[in-house]
Amino acid sequence: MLAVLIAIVIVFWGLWGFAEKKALEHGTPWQTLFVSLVWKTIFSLPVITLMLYFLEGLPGFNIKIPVWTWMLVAVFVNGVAIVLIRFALKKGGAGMVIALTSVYPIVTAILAFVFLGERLSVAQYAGIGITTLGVVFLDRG
Amino acid sequence: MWFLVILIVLFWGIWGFVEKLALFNGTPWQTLFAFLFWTALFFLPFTIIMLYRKQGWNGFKISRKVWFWIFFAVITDLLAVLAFRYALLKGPTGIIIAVTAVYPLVTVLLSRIFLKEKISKLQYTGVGIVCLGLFLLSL
Repeated sequence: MLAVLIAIVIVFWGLWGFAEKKALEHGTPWQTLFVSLVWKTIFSLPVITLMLYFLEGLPGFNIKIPVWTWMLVAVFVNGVAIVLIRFALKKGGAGMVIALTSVYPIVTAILAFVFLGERLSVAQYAGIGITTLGVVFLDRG
Repeated sequence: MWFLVILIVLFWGIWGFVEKLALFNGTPWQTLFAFLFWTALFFLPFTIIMLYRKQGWNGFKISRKVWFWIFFAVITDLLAVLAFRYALLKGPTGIIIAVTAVYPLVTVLLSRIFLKEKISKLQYTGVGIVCLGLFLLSL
């Protein structure tokens, strides 16, 4: 069961970048963004609302103010990235853009290290170095 | 394109960090709900305004193929998010995040097969190394 779930995540997230690129063959970045947000409002928001209700009941909607505040910030920073990735996908190949931008957890790890004092393991330091090497390979290829 | 890529990595990196801060005060489902709520409330109207300013009313004449492919993208993203959260409930977080980090390989393969994107052997190696690095980073 766990393996099936992991396979779904890998394949479906992989499909996401491909589908965005296909859409950009027929529309502009702002058009695809508009359509994406319409579908998310129609489908994703109601699905997640139901999931929250079934898993946590009505108390689940008693969301603390810091969550609302941080998620508003999250919408802003994610929004900038979501706008930019459409322009990047319009200019470059889907495979390259998705591979290059997938390295963002490095930035998250560094920020968590600096601001939250989260310590990095040897494996994680190696991960940062190896990921950076991979980006150099993608650039030189 | 490199400038765009750097900005995307930076902003998505900050986004991951901000999500972490929100999770100190709420559950994953609450943060996801709040995220989609703010998106519908602010980001959608902002996008409508931007689309109008950039392309006028013609911007809203959108090809059916765009509606189809973006619907496909949104559904695959939603299913991946749901499967990811269920996987986290059933298995060890580190391993799941690490293993799912290989998803760029799927995009690369699909782009090669269906979009005929040319990718050199060195770039294939680069994608593999990036996935390995992300795997280690998640441990």
